[in-house]
Order: sequence, then C-alpha cells, then structure tokens
Amino acid sequence: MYLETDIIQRNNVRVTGKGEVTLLLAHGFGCDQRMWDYLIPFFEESYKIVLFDYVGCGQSDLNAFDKKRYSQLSGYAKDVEEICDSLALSNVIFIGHSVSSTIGMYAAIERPDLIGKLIMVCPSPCFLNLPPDYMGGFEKEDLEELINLMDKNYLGWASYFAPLAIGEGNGDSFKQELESSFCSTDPSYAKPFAKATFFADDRHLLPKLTTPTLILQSQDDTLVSVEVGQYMHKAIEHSVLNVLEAKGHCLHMTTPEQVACAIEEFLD
Amino acid sequence: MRQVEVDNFPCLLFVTHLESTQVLSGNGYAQQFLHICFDELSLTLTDVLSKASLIFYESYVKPILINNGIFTEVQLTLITRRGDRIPAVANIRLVGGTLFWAVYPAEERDKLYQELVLARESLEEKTEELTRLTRLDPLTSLLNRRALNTDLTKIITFMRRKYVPVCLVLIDIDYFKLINDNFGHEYGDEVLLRLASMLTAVVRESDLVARWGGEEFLVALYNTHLQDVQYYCDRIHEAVHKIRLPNSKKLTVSIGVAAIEPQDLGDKDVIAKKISKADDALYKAKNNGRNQTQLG
Repeated sequence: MYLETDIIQRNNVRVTGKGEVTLLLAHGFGCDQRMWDYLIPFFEESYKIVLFDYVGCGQSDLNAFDKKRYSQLSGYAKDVEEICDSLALSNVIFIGHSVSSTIGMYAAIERPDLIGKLIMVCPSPCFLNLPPDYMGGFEKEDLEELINLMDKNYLGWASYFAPLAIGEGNGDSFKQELESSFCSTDPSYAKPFAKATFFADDRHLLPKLTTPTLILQSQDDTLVSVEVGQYMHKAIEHSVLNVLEAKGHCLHMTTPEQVACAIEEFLD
Repeated sequence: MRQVEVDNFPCLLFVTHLESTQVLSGNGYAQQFLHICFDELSLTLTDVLSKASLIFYESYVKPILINNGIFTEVQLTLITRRGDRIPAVANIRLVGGTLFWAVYPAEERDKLYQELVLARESLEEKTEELTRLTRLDPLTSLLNRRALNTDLTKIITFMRRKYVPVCLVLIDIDYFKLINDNFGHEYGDEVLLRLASMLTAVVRESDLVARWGGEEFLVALYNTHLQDVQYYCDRIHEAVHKIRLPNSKKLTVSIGVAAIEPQDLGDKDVIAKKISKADDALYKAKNNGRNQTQLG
C-alpha cells in the first residue's frame, strides 16, 4: 500500500538564500545535507538554495523507506523529482556530490523540465572495474567488503551508545543520537544505498543526457580517477570538464571556494 | 617522551595530510607492522588502507572529521606492504589540516563482529519470515484479518491528514456450505484459492485484499469513490462466473460495499463501523437473490 506523504517533511527539505534562480543541492552516499554548509555562504546572497536528505539519510522520515524503491538510483531520483514538484520548481541548477551526480542525471533525463543545468562534484557513473574498456577503480570484492565494514561499524557505534540503548523507551533516543551524528549508517537504510551506488553501471545514461553539465573533478581523488571524468566528458554532449587543483573526494567541504568559483564560472 | 618510547607502543601511530592523504610520519611500531618506511615519498592512505576502507573513510570518516574534529572507534582494514589484510580500529583527530591516527589491530574483535553480523542477518531473515507468516492467511496467502486491520488503521491515520476516498468491498461466496457438502472440503478450498488469485489479479498495487473469514473476503480499494465501485464489482462477478462448479453451475458471489467518508474519520471505531455497514449491504445482496452487489 502506497501512501502519499508530505514530501517536504519526508525529505527534510530546507529552503534558504535569496534569488530568482534555484540551486538544488544533493548530498552523496554516507552523509546528509549538512555537508553543503561549507558551500552555502558563497551562494546564499544571490540564489535560492534548496537542501534535502534522501529518504533513509539524515533527518528524513525513515517510515517512508521503501526497500524496493531505494535499492536503485532511479528511486532516489524520484525523491528529487517529487521535491521539485512539491515546491513547484522547474529549471533548477542541480548540484550533486558523487553518486548524486548520477541521481541528478536520472532526474534530468526523466524530467528535463525540472533541471536546467547539472553540476557534478566528483561524479562516477560506475565504480566497478569493467576491463578492458572501463576502470571505475574498484573490484566487486572491495564493494562487498565495504558493505561488511558498514555492518561492523554500525555494531561498533551501537555498542558505543549502548548505555542509551538499554530498554525499549530509550531505543528512540539512541537512534536520534546516531542520526544526529551527521552520518548515520544504520545498515537497513545505508546498505541499499551503498549497493545502489557502488554496484551500479550507469554509463549508458551519459549519451542520453542533454542538459548542460559541469563535471568538477579533483586532481587526486581516491574514489574517482581523472580518467573517469574524461570518460564522462566525452560521453555527455553538452559537458564541461574542470579538474580543480585540489585533492580528495569531498571538494565542496575541503575547498569550497574553488568549487564555488568553478560553479560561478560555469553559470556565467 | 622519547622517540624510542613512542616507537615501542603496540599501537600504530601515524600522521596524514587531510587533503592529499599523504602519510607524513609515524612511529616505529606502525612501520614494522605495515612493513613500510614512512620516509618514502608519495606514500598515501591508499598504501595502508584497503579500498573498501578508503570508500568508508571518504564517505563517513572524513566528513565527520571535518565537521567534528574527531572520530573514534572506526573499524577499517589495514594493508601491509606484504599484502596482508589486518582488521583494525582507529581513533582519528584533525588538528589544522593534519590527521593524527591511533590504530590498533583488532583481529579478535573483528571475528566477534563478524559473528554478530551473521547472527543479526539470520535474526532479521527469521523476523521477516515470521512477520510475513503472522500477516498472511495460510490457505490463500492473502492478508489475514489482523494484517488488514493494521494496514487499514495506517490508511485511516493518513486519511485524517489528507482525505483520500477508500471503499471497503466485502465479498461472500454464495452457497459455500453446499459446495463443501456436495463436493468436499478439498474442493471448497480450491474454490477459495481460485477466488483469492482472481481477486489479487483484479486489484491495483495500492489496494488491500484479505481473507476476512471462512468464505468471506475483504478488499480495500484505495483512491476510489463509491460511484466507481460498481464497475469494479461487475468485473468481479464476471470473473467469478468463469469458475464452474463440478455440476457445471456458475460460481457466484454476493458483495456489500461501504465508503469511508470524511465525516466518518472522527470516529474512533471507523473501521469496525464501516465493515459492519458493508456487512449490512452484503446481507441485503443475499436477501435480494444473491449474485449481486449492494452499495451501503
């Protein structure tokens, strides 16, 4: 039985900033909307900014988690589409980190009216090595180990918070504690997202994307090689590739000013 | 503390650069353990952590470190220069742009956690299976009475926030006792099964279908007005007629319908009252010659 819910509440949508044009900021795997806090100051004076958590992440409504829907990136893209529809947004500038770039791509292909421009921060359409044509950086076993690490770390944190978890009634506060710890890895929600993210091969979508796209890459990213960015740039017709002189996979957190400059340059 | 003392602690201590992940220095124990010399240029986290650990680090650990400055008790896998993979637990602190790692190998803890993960997975599977079993009617695999009540209560709660028309359709097989008496209980069960699969086939994913009692079925039609129900019921009658009894007679059903209106939602017993209304309509259909639908 599918029940319609209040999307704004479901996805913990927050609107800030002032301006005619909307930036829709979509967090990546592992975290929530708070990871954008470092980038927001660069845009809040001239753009309306919409932030949200995917269902299963951050402060989203976990009751709305549908295992089937959220075991595929297209399910997360539905969140994006529903948020735009609820706020009557169209032609937004979508900024997605890592896997959210692919999610944005799904949404832009499905609903081109919603997304006017797509900005991908450290994207990868496929994390798997599929030789000889494509090297996403990881073997299947690596990703299976990741799922296992998620499980074990959650257990570790659960025991860390054990005093709070004693007794039925305190279960909720334990959960809140974990959720407020910025990145929650309750495996029930995080594992489907991890599998959807790291076992996906969405390279076939790249030629279908007609939205003007900026691919922002890092010179040295342990998760995504520069070659992956070049591969995407070649396959997406209206794309610009900008490899920043920065390192790491969380550029919007570590070097927000460089990311902001590159975005502004693209938007101008 | 002298360097030689720091080197002797059975704990891997090393320092990395946050942005470049370059390993800047470390204690002797770490170098011995990893069979690595930290003086090597261009040594980075990719040389000491497994690939899965790197994803975990980039996705969870690093954002938290940037935000909170410290991350404790994260389980990762170390990779030694010899290619050994060692489970380890790390406490990491961010000072300036530099990360300070205190890591201890935790093979035994890892084994315990592995057992816990497996135990939890097996419990989850069993719980899922048990939950499924408590919700289903064993013969027809439709929802049972309790599950329908639970699901309908959720819908009512939602309808109180935002009204959506819902109709309750109560379906009863005509002369079922005679079918059982004449053709045996096994045949009776077969009729129930065929009706169950037929009902499942004619509803949408958003509707609920339950075995309400012996030969009684209840369908909750979501987002459906009372005036639109007749069409749905006609389809049921039509499909039921295709089921022929051994004496070549058509199987028939009687149907009673009740709609949940906005004004009903204030009532605490709305479900019971509406089902009773559908039941009244069903009896009207029975008394009126069966093989028909009555709207309540």
